Amino acid sequence: MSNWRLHTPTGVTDILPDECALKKEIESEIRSVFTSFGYNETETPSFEYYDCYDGAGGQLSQENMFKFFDEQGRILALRPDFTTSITRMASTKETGALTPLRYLYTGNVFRVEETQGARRREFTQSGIELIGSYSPSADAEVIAAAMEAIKSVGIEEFSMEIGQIAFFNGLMEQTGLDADSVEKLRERIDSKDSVGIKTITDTLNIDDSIKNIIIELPYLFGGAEVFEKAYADSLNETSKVALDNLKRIYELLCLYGFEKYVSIDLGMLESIDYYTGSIFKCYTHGVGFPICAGGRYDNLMGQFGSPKGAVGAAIGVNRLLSVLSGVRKSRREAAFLVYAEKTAEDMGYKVARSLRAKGRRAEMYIGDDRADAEEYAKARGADALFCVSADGGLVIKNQSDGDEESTTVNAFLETR
Amino acid sequence: MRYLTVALAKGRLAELAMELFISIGMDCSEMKEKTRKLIFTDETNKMKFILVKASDVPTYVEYGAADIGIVGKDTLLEDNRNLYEMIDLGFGKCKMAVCGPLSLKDKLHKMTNLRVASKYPHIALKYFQDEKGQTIEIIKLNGSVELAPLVGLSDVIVDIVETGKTLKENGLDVLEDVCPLSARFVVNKVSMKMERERIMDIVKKFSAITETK
Repeated sequence: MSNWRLHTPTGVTDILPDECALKKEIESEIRSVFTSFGYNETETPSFEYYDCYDGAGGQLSQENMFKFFDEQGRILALRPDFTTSITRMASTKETGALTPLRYLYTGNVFRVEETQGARRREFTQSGIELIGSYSPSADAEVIAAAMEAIKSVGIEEFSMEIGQIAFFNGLMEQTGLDADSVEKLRERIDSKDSVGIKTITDTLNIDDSIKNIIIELPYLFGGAEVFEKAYADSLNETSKVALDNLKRIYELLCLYGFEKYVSIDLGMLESIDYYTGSIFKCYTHGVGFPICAGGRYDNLMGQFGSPKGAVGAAIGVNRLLSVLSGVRKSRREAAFLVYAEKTAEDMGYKVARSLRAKGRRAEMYIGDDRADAEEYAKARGADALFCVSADGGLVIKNQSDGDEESTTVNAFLETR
Repeated sequence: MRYLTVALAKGRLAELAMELFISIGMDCSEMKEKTRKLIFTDETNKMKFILVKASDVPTYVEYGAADIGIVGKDTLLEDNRNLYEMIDLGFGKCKMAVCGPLSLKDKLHKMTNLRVASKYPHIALKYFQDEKGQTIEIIKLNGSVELAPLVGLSDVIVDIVETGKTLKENGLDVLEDVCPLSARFVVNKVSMKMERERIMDIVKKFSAITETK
């Protein structure tokens, strides 16, 4: 039998100090960008009643949630995403607040995933929600902020794909297909399965121009030329409005200066059911999954009692980390090591405190032997070793060039 | 230019796929030599070809270890990975079917506790449960599935049928068709976005070839 005490469960992992330092830097850089756009940090519970998340579908289906019971037998679930929780919070607790509301969050979400390496069951998302606007300016702002955040961590080559789920919904209204067939078609278009799409469209008795757009949907991606290719006079109002909306978002993103990163994909049909309008995913080299995703979810606020337009984006911090781990190092600096002789602890502590007060990291050596302390400083990679002797003397040994500077504790505390 | 990596399902599919790549001007001479190498490079077109077990192709592609994969529809259905399935290449044609003794023909839906042996438990389960609404018991096997009904391990099997010769020789028949199968051209979702032009170029050329066939 395996000794389970020694292992972590499938899909979860430790993050060791070197990696963790980089992760925290990334999180803080993303947070500063979102803050600079006017977003305010918030926290929601790590678990809620299952009912809160119920109905999101796709990656957030019942079988993807970790569930347990409270003492009254009600079902609880670890949060599978932040959007639903924040929407519940905004809808129930910020009803009178001035809109739009701008929230930012960083935290872990939990999903039961078939795990094999890259897919985790616990991972960190850092994201924003803009609640209280139906305007394409809101969509563009959220997408622009997400791209700014991705750039801020040092990723230059990426592609932000934007789509519009309502365009597809409009087409489906015209086909008159039942919900099950629509879902099948959605899946096949999302996976660009042309063969599978044709088997469904062949049975449809509709305008040929509409049929052709459905068949072409998987290939309706690229630059601004897509808008023209996707247009037909026979489109219904839903699809036309959706197309105009996406075009406007695209234009605004160009005004933000992000033209070279943005492309259109009308065949992208996200499988989370709460999306109602724009949807987007961001990709980069070196990771086979999106590093950021999001979209507009205009019905979700209403489900919690306070109908409002809303749009959000989430960045997968662990995925950024896997892209960046070979590229950049954490800026965490090495610590100074302070060694004090047995009767000189008070002076040792003063030296360390003075270093810390100046914003440096100062580590106290635990032990009595100076030779051991020197060995330790070398092995640790400390910048300098501060040796405090019982008579008040202080020797500062620069670890990189071995230079020693002799002074006294008092002189050190006065001058620095 | 980055290398585009193509994962090929070892065996006949790989050979047919290579012919297709050669016909659009890729250099795969290295692969034609009898060798145990699993990775081949075409330096002029910046392409890499890797040979992997068929059932591993979707994994390589989903994780982006390969940008493109050539693999049978059966493997895709069984694995249900998140990829773009772009072209039906039209070769490696066969079908997935429910097979068993002819005496069971048209009687399957009446059997309350049907035992189904298969190398493809997901496909079998999806077919019976989702499409037919029948609860079944799945017995996962790894080979010689035809044996299961003969020795009483299962009532029927769900397996790939090409010529039906093995079935006949073991006294089994096709009872129901599940779906047609053939080789598919699959693409990693990120690669599609990051290398759109090169991949779409291959897609267009392949589509043109398969459509004229």
